[in-house]
Amino acid sequence: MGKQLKKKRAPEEKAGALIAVVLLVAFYVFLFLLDNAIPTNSVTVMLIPVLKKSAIFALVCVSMNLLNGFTGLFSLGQAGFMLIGAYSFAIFSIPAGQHDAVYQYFNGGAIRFSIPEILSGVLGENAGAFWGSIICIIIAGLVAAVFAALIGIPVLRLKSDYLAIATLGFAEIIRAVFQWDGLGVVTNGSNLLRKYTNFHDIKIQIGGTIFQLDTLFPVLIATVCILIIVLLVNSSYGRAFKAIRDDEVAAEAMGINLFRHKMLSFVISSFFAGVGGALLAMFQTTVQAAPFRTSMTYEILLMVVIGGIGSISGSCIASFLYIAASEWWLRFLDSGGITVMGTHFDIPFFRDGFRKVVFSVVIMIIVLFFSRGIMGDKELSFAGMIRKIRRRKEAKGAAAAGKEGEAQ
Amino acid sequence: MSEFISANLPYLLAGVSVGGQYALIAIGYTMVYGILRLINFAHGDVFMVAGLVMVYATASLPIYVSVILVIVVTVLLGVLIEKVAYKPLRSAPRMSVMISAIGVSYLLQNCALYFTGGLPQNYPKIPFLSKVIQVGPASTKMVTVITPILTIVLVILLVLLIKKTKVGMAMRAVSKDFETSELMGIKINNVISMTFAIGCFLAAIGSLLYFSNYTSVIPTSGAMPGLKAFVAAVFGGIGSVPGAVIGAFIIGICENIIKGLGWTVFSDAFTFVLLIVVLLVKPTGIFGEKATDKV
Amino acid sequence: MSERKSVLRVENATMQFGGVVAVNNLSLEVNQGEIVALIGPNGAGKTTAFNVITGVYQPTNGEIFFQDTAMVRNHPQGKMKKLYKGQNPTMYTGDYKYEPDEPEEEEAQELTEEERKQAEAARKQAERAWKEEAKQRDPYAFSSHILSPTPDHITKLGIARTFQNIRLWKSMTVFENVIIAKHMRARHNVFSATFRTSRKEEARMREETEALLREQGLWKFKDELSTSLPYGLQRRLEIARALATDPKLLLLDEPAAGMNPQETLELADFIHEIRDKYNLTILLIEHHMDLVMNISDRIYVLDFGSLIAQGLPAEIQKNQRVIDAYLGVVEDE
Repeated sequence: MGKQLKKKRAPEEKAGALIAVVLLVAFYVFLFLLDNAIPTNSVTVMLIPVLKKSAIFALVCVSMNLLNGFTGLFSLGQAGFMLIGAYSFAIFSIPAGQHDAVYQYFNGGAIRFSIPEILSGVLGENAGAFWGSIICIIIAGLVAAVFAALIGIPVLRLKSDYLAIATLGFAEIIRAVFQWDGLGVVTNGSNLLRKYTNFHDIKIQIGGTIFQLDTLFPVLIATVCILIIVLLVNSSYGRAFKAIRDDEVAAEAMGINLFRHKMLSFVISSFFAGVGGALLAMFQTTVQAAPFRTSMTYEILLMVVIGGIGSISGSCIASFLYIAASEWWLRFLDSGGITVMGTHFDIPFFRDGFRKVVFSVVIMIIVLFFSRGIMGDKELSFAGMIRKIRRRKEAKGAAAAGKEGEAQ
Repeated sequence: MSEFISANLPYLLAGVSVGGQYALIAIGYTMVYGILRLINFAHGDVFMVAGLVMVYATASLPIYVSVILVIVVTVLLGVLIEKVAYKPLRSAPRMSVMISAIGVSYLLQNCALYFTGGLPQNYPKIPFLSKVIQVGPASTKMVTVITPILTIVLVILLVLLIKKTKVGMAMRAVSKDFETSELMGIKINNVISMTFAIGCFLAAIGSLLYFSNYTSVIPTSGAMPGLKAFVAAVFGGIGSVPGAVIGAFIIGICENIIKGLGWTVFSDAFTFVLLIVVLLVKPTGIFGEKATDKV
Repeated sequence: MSERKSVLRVENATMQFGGVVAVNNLSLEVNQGEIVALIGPNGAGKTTAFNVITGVYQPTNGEIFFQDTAMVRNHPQGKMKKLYKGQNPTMYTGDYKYEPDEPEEEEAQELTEEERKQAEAARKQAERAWKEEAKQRDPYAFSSHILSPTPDHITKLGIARTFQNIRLWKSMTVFENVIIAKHMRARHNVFSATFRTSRKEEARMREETEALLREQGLWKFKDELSTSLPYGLQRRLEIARALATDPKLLLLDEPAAGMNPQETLELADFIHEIRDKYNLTILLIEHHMDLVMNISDRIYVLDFGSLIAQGLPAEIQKNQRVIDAYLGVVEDE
């Protein structure tokens, strides 16, 4: 009986999973080649940073989606948790020799060790940097999660827009605290943190050759984290989150402890926002509290909306499109004109900032007229595609058979 | 004692003045929330646009014409935003409208960035407001003294409007019960437009006063005052005009006292601490009404 | 009937919203295996009573026992004393102050330091003993706070409910709606669930859900959205969802609302059937008098928040106060 009832996997699902894995591995291989074999050209010079940044924002968007889309908690604190993650990462990975330079106004700071450096002493330079940064990334997530737990205790009792404004407020408070000179020995006050491990330091040694993992590393971390969130969303806890989103009263009446589950969602989301922040710090190579303001949260929220609230694949697609459009494809809007076939046309209103205007108009159009975003609350699924193709084929076959029948 | 006063009077004066300016913005938030249950995130940016319009208008027009132009443009902008960005979403979930408001805020900031080229725009000196005067031992701009007086006068007029006129009665009815008011034949859309117009009118006046204290306007100038004004509205009990005004004065004064104590980094954070404390202790604010959920 | 085990006992429950007393000093008892109906005109406070029992509201006053254990109660010295003085004043006269039987001896001053200490210790011990004894009688005698668990806690104890205006999770399928109700009793945590180390538990949940859906005839709709079901099946699904929490007591809030006579007849059989099959005790709110008279063992009648009658269906049918409440009293001209 038990075996019979066990969830049977349809062949489409198996094939779909296989396609997804193959595509992901192919993507990794492509990135590996991009880092090591493909020479830089005008495309890769744009593509590489876009890929890194969109992987980071995909993770942050998915973490926000877990909260806003799957648990129905409208939180606007994402930038604050990213800030915590970014700082935690940087603080624990500035090499000991650089502390005096970085913390020049604070006598070299209070924390005088670097985890990647310590590990380098044990594992060798490359492995040390690799595993050291992974440990620092996890620490970044954990610190963000701890802050989230503390903030969550008072805030999660609030409803909808009050929750939004309270989380937003907390993000601003966090920003102020990190800029405060009193904590300067740790946070360096309002000065930059720099010289910590960045993507360029991540290498692996296979045989005698050293390979760069510049682009592969962030994408790898982001995809692993997103996969974990996917697993969570599809687990019993994910269903409970969705129940809370759909109807809190009913969820509570069916035995779901609202506070505990909201807290879980909030803490997990913040953990991954912290990881995203750490990756962003690595990407930027310097970090400062000032840019992690509310507008960053708004931008993340808009990406989530474009992708579709409640769709993880939507968030990933949207963050790539958003980053690629704003940093690459729409660059020409800021450049004073367009160049077609070697001739340059001056267009008077194409100047600095026009790109962002066009962009925000597009966003408004999406918000107003396509409020379900790219994916709605559906997921991109290869199994679904296979099913659709098969159905279409069957329909065609049936139609053909019908015609034959008519002909006879 | 007198030493203490002379040392702290400038902060207190600045606090009262900034408080008045926040109050004028906060009314826009509180009235819109009262009727649409929407945190109009774009309101702070409307306020910033009013500042920019003044900058551009005075470049070619006399100052008093510019002032009138600023008020007219701001009111029109507010009503336009409502018609374009909020009205189509009237039956959508509240979260969608809020996202739309965030989108509008993003759009206004980016447009401002485009027009200004990212450079701070020098705010013109309004002759009367920018005059330096002596208050006791402290010297300050005229605007510091004018703001609280003007704010209170405007608020009294507004409260009279809400309490005594037909439009005001309609507003109160709509904020009590949206659907029933509609069934009773109140033209909801007119009331909402009116609310936005009043809110933006006050925000325009607020911007004239606020930016007279500062030298320049940048695209993000509106974000922080906007958020603070919203906090003031929550503090006073969202939906209540007098509550918002009192909240705004308290926030303005506290913020400047904190600056006076040398904790400038935390002057913004304080507002949010206050917000969170209020939300936890008395989520409905000082003057707010209690709402119960029906199961 | 009195030998039956009490499942739910509500004593002097009062629920006050500002100046409105929605439920006034309600006492009722439901015993193992019974089907009890709570009836009354619209706005009589029936749903409020349900909300008080299931922990949605914290009663202004009163106690609720589930299987003879206090589940919701207000302490006499607690906050409700300030808010409301019920019709049962004896409840509040309980004095929880320790008063030693004999006054202290007059030569107390002449006692040595040592002796005074001893006397003090003896007195303290006596007080402790008294407290212990008082706690035996009333476990919450000295807790100044109000005992009122959240709805999820009460559901976990074994009380499940349905809602008057169906509250299914709208974006989810029939299957998901039921399996979520199993979440609370599953032995897993967020890590084991995410990383699939509690796969057996998940499989068990799925199995049980499938079995339940098959029994309820809902299996063929398992992949449909809950809202796409016809109204009657949505009600059925809501009951199935409540059953999935493994309740001992089931509260049904107007299960027959919106049903035609034929469906209502079937519902009566259905309620009997689930009671026997799952060994349930049922308390239901219903307006459909045929149904109520047909299935209930006993009936409580509420009007304006107060209990106006209770008894067997036949007695209620003849009760003048009930008839007046439903039809309105005709005043003499």
